Amino acid sequence: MSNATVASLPASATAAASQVRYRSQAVAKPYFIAAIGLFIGQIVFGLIIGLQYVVGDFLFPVVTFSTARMVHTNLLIVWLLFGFMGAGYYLIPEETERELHSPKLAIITFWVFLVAGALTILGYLGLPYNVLAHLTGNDLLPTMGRGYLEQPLITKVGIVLVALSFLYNLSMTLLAGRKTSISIVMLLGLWGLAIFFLFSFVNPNNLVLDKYFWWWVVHLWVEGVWELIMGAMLAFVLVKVTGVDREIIEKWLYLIIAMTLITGIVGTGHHYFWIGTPAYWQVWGSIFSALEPIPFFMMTMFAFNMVKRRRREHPNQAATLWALGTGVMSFLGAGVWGFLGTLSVVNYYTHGTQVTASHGHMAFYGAYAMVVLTMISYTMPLLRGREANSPQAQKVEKLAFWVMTLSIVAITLCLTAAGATQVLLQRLSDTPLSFMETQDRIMPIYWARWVCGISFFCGLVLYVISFFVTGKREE
Amino acid sequence: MDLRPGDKRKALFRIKEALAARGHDAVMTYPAPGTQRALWLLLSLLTVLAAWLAEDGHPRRLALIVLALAWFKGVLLVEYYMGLRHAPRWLHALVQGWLAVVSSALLLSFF
Amino acid sequence: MKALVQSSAPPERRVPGDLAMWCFILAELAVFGVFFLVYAVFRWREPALFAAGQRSLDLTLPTLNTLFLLAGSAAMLAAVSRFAEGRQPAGRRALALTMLCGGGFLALKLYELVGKFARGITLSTNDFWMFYLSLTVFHFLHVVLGMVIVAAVWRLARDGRYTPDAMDGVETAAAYWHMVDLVWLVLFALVYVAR
Repeated sequence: MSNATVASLPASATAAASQVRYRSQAVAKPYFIAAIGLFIGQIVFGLIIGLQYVVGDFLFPVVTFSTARMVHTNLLIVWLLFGFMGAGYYLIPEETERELHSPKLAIITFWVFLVAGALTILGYLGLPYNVLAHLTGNDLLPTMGRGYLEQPLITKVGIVLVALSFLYNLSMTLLAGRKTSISIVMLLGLWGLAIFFLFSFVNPNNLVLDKYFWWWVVHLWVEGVWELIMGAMLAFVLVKVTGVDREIIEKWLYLIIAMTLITGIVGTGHHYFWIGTPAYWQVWGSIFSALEPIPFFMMTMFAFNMVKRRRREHPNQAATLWALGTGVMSFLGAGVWGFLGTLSVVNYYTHGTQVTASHGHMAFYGAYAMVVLTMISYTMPLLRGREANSPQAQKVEKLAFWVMTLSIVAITLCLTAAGATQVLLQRLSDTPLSFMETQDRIMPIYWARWVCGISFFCGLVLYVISFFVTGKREE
Repeated sequence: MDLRPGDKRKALFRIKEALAARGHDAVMTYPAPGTQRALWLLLSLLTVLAAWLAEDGHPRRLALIVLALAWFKGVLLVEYYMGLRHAPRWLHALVQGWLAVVSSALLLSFF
Repeated sequence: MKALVQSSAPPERRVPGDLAMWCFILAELAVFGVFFLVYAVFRWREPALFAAGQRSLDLTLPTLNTLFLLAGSAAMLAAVSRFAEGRQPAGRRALALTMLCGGGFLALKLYELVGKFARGITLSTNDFWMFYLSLTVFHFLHVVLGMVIVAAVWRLARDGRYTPDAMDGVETAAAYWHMVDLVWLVLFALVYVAR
């Protein structure tokens, strides 16, 4: 492997290469640990609701489907946010070539976010939702009761404060330090994330407007500013592991985010087909969103191209694998599977079916879960005092990569089959069946999906184990 | 002052480019002024022609004539204004290809 | 030696301007291309509606607009050739001429669009007007961006930086401008003239 390359470096260089450059980068560690912990929670609840699909009264009434689903989706967002924050705290000092403005603030913010998040989840699980709403001030300003934005008002306010503290810390660091494309794009994306989250406080009475603005959070996050964050993180890791000239990587990054914004902003229209907005959205939304796969295609080309042109054999092969995997899976999940249902003429039939869910799972995993895991894979060894984990540990980590990734592919294929069945039996047929009759036919597919979910969880367990595998360190 | 590796590389590249430029006549890449004027006149005349056909003439298959004219004008623009005839073949092909695909699809829709 | 090279070697193939800009241009062409094709499908399905809409369109102003953009492109080509010959002031004058032409286009187009809105035409009037407004406004925005890019280059050119072996900036701006013109050539023919 790369033992020889590392062995040939002088001792001082090896020592330098195996540490973080700025002490304050260490604040990223708790964020990453929390991220993985919450990821585990997310999957546990995913297994619960996956089973409830086929065993309808599993855990009823203690943990109902609607509550468990809320926990599953909210945990996903929160663990990814912890991941982004850890990534920001790690890469901004390194890019700006100075210590973080306030490591102390970062740690305080961490605990505030973690406790608030934990309390919210406990609230979901322990109280009837309407009681939770009443207790947490929803009567003052109603913001609850909408998908993915189920958080109580005080939690939402807490998120804003946590985000502001995070952005303040990073922005002050950037302002005083070196400005690179990677750090600027990262911060642009993160500021965008915070600003668009403010729309979760906008809750019009008019149902059409309500749904119109809801997408300003959800779409403009995952098909907008989050892609900037993802691009910057991917670029950062590729600069480090491939040693390719920074200018080349940064140029690619600008192109990718330009394509993201060109296609994704008006592409919001693919959520405006049927909610009561004017019909021209069916044209605009289809045209622009049809091109949304392009930035993901570019990210795949980018990752493979940079690795191909690498100027060094970085010992952290796992991180490289995660980076390449992110490109491929995000293109497949977000790009290809997204395209499947994006044209209005197709969406007319697939809207609200498991086809959408198949896209959602592969896209979220492929793009955002994987880019956070890429970052963790690259940074965690350094945060623990080594350039890369031992070959044994990397072997387990790579196995975990494959198990999780292939499991998601399997889940996606199951859900695609389920969705296709729905479309055929419930919508396209001359003698359509009812929703429940169709669901009855799909049950075997849901069982298969659940088994793949178990497999995914095994991969996640392997992943956690990889952090504790020792074995011969490279000297 | 420390020259970062990127700056050094840029400086070297500049020198290489300047040396290469001395071996070429840069003006050869662009059409002569006379050709430029002729091109402009031709494109403008074709534009006015198309508009006149639509206003006064209104021949059968107006749409086809006009779209074909636009295609032709586009080809000239890509070749000489964009200068893609001197560009790498893949870029030249992509842009002319775009024009060809769009124009022929539009022509087809009027059949 | 220069003569030897001049007579036998054709100019080697190189990308005019920044490759990143060309990627951007290709993306823009893709979007417009799809837009045009969708227009074609809708028109094919409702020929009478589209023909009626087109009949109410004035042809004089849009034709003038096309002439403006073509003149702008011609000026842009002149600018690039002059910079390549080391004639900086002449090149800047040609850039200014490009902007003048672009400004003319924008003014006329604005007048045309205001006229439509004054007649109560909106995106929801019917399919033809929806496409007409979408395409022309979308293109309008691109002309604005083209003007911004050309203006930036015109400004930067003041310090004489665009020497014959440092032409990247001007060529990049030219490439974008010509793309905007190319798209208009198709748009003009399709929406205004082809009836």
